[in-house]
Amino acid sequence: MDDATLVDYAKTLDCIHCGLCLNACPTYKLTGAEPSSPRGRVHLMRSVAEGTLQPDSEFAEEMDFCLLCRACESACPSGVQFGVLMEHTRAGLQTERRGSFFARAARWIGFRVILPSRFALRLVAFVGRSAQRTGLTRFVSRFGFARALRDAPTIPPSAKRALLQPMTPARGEPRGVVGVLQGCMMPELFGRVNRATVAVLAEAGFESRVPSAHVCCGSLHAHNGDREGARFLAQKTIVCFEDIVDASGHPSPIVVNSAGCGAHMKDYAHLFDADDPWHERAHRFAERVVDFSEFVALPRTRAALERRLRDRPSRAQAVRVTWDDPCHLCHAQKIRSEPRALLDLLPGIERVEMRDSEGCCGSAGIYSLLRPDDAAAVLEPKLQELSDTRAAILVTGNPGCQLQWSAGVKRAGLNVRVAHIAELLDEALQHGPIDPADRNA
Amino acid sequence: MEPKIADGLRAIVGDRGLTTNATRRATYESDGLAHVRQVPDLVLMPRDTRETAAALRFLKEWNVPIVPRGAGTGLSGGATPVAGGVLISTARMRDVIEVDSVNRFARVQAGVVNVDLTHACADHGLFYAPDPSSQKACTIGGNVAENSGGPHCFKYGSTTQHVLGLVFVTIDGEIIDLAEPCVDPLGLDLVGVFVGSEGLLGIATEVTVRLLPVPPVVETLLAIFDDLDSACDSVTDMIAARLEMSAIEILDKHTIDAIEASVLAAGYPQNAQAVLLLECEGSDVEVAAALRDIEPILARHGAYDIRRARAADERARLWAGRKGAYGAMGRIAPDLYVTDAVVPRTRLRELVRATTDICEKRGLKVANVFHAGDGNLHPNICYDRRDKDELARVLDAGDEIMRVCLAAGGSLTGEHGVGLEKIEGMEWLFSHDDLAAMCRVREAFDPKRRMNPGKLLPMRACMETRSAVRPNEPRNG
Amino acid sequence: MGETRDVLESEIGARAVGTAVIDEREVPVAFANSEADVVRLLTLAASRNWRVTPIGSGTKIDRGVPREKPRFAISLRGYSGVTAYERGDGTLTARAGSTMAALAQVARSGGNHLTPDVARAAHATLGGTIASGISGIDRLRYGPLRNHVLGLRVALGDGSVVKSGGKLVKNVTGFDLHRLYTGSRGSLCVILEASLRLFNLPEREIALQTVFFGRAAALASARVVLASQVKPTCVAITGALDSAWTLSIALAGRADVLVWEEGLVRDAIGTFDRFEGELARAKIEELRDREAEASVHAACLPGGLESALARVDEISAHDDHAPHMFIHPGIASLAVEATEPTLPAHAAALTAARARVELAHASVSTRGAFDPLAGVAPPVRRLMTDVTRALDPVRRFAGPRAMGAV
Repeated sequence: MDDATLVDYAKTLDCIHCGLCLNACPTYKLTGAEPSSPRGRVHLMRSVAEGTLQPDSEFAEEMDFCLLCRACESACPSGVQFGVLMEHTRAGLQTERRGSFFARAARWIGFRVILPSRFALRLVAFVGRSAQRTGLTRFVSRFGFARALRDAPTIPPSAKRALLQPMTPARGEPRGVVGVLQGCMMPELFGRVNRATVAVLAEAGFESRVPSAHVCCGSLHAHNGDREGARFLAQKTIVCFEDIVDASGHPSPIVVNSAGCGAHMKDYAHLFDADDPWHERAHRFAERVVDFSEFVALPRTRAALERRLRDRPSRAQAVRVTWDDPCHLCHAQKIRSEPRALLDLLPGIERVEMRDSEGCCGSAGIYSLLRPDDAAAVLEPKLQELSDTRAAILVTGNPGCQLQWSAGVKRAGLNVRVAHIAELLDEALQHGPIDPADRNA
Repeated sequence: MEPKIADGLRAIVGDRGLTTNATRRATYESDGLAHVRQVPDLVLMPRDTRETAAALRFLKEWNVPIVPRGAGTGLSGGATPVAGGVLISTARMRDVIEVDSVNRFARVQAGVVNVDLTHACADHGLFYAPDPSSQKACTIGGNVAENSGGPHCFKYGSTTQHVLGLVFVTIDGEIIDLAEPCVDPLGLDLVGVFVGSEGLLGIATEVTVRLLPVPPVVETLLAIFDDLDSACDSVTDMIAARLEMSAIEILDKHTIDAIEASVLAAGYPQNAQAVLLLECEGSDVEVAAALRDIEPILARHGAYDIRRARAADERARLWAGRKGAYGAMGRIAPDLYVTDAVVPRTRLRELVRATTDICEKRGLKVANVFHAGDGNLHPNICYDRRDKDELARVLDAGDEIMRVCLAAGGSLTGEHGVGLEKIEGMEWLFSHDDLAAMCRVREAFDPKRRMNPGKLLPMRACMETRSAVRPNEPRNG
Repeated sequence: MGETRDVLESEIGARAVGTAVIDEREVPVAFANSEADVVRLLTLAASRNWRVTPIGSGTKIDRGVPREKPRFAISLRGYSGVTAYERGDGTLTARAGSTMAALAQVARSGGNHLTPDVARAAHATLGGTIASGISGIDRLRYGPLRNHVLGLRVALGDGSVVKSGGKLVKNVTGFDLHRLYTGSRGSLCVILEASLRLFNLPEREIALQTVFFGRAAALASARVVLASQVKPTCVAITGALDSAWTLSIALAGRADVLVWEEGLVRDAIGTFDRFEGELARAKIEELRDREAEASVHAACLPGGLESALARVDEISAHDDHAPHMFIHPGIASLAVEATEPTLPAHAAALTAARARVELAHASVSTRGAFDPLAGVAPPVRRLMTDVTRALDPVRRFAGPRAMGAV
């Protein structure tokens, strides 16, 4: 690939260099450095495309440093499609990059072997759990190369890693059928969130269908420069969900409880050229994709939940909760009010706003694994904001954020529960009052 | 550049405070005036006054030009690097040092972002008044350098009226500590002359600013017009009637279309030829009284709809749209050239029309969005920088707009500064002697003219001053 | 002195030469009636290497640090008149010798208010007011003088006439040298012409006065008014320790708003004497003119006002004499009618309380003994000197030492 096609040149021209994105960018806020800002990165891309700059290692470093949180898109009045630009550039760099054999091999194994295979994922989870229980991880993490393992999440016992049933019926009067994405890592790390998701959908009157052949949506691939892998997985996902239809044969909505996956699935069409038949198919598919909170907050569904929650026992002292907007929910999917409206339905809670709730927590897919120090530095000021809210529960809608926050809260010694919004809704429907402590912990 | 320079600077500011890599430096090649570019030889990012002073003392012996930079959102090229020079960025000086709610001032480092300052004092019921449209990104230090304005400067005045003190470092690395907040200084008003000096007199590292109490009532009006002329005339009448408002902005059709197509869509009416965005602040009684006077004037000039934004979020959207207008225009053209002229408010219609004609005569598309209440015009001329001919026509139009505005008793710039962009115009507005006086003051701060050379003051004027001053020197008895 | 006078008379005619007392010295005054006169006098001074000083009517001549001795003074009192009054744009440009009262009248005729509202306005000239940098009694509402000077035209020591700023309400073209000239007290230039920003002429003006026994009570009430939504042009308390204190509040604006504001003041302080129109103005002018005659003028931060007052009280206790005081809590300034022997003590005490102090109407030796810039860091002082030298390399102007002209 030559430098001209490394970058989506036409899209860089949308930037008029006004700089309104600067302060929205977590890496700029961290460093104050122009090359680590969205404007700087677009400038670099444009310079490469125009041939005035070589895409050297510093160029690649700045592209890797980006969290791809897309906060800059929410700030950009010119409508620069930064996410698309960055994915394109990363893909280009990936094909050029030589890197060490070890790194390339690890990457290939991760993206091409583990993520697309349920068997491999389960195996990794099993091995990981065993290693954590025997203390092996603690031993290995002393060595530089495996430092990230130290902060790795605790893998739950196998009983909690059960996959979702292919079908979960609605409770009470059925109102429809939905497809549910159970995800690649979700069952291994957040099986409870998946179970809560289908339970809430059932309470709201929806039958959940989970295509058992489906594993990964490919968002991590796209964000990290493996466009080919992303395309393959997108096609597979589209096929897997295509036959989920309601009673009258209409394609069902596809409910996604991971903001990163949802944002990517809504953007599937970008992966295919306009004249590729998959482009149109991806477009139709994308129209069915809804975020969990987006779907449940729809007026009728919300009303159904509200009826059920109204006479739930509350608690004398309200529990303070705060919503942290996952980047790929607020910036990519523009979903901001829905989760807040849902939280407000919960009995016995007081919802407070956290300053800079739309700022990235540093999780950013596998960023926190690849660049643990940067990820922690990005989270640092947010931990302070969290502590300032004096909230007992931080609620999010993305598994990556949930992991990142859990690790950060633990590190900072804060007594805050980190929960997915589906978990809280489920808890309220099952038990009534929300517990400031994690029932599952 | 001599490697010893980088080594010496690194010892002062550390690795993270110095950028030597060519790729990274390239991103600093321009500020908001994107068509003028020069890669700096080094980029320095000191953390505080002490580091800045140490770096400048070290650089003194190397005799290199220094260019200060805040967020690089300026539109006149004030932060465009100079060949062979060191760019000093304040982007890592981001601490709010003190918010004093009793005495209503704040002390901040120069790199604090304008809007972050207002956030920092919000809990005290206070705010910082100057609100340039780039306030979400631009720094207080940059605002000081340019004497920035913004829509609400109509009521509150430009940055200079809000700076109560400063700490700046001179080219020789001398720290001038005038941080103590005061309105009327002892001795000469060095702060007053520093504000708006566009980085020629030194680098501000700390700024003491005045804070104001948040007004109890804010009412925002949107008046919708069938033509731009009537909107301008209504402003002229409102000024003549001396109505007390806090902001009077005009947006024309092109601007509205661009905003409404962007993430900032705010509900500006797309069938209007022009809208007036007005704001009144104060007690409910004052606001109600002002509105009673405004509405008949608007109606007389043919405003066919007047909408009130009551909810805070609706108001916030209207302002976000207004302030993002320049960026949103990026949707209708790859590049934009914003002129920034001031004219007497009695002649708004005539001059807005003249600027539009100047652009259209050259086949250029122009959008008008401006601080009408202050007579501060901002024709946004659309172009594509890859089209050299078009760029030439844009610059030519910019020149003629300046000349027409000057001829009408106007001025070159109301808030963006002269920088590189309007340096030629300085000789149209000021006589040789006027410029010589400015050059003399500059040389009191910076005898070798190493700070931000080539900006604001035409080089020729300064060179001549030096030779002119010499023979006159002391013969004191 | 005689020689200087002869030279001046032969240059501009005997009728245009007079005498003024500046800092206890008799100084010949040359009255300039045009810009050309000013330039001619400066050229004359240059040719003989004489030091000169510009003056207006001399209403503030014995305020602050004494000047170096000038060979003669250039008075601009005769150089008056409005050169541009842009009613619709709310700006006014006038020659330096115009009196503030005359300019205020012009503005009023067009529905504008001219700030600053300075003492002895019938005599005080525009140039002198700007050169002194002193704001008016209406500063609380309209802000300090230096915010309203849009542009200046001045003559420098070498006889060149230069401008900065302009006539527009918003303008950032070039250095704001007019900020530097404002308050420079004749040490940098002769101000020839100034453009000011005007405000809306209030529909109605009222003054409210009430008496308190004790300063603390008066101050407390003043603060309640200041914290309310009322926007007074002036809130002052006047009196002497251990006597009655008067709280004066001046309100100006739209008639309907004033009714409401007056109600708020009543809620805050109870009953008061009420004056309207001419009477209201007279009350405030009386306060303004008497305050200008005080011997100590100080400004601090609002939070520092109490401690500044405490220090003044200490001196009174020592001296067994309680001087009359003028306190503006809204802008944290005060003036004291202190006796000459106590001036050094007042200056020292207030400086220690971090106030900015100016002595007035006292002997040259008393005023000269106090250096307001004593606490200023050497680099700052040095820079002021450099700036003065840059604009006036041969020290044509006899400036006060406080301007950095060491």
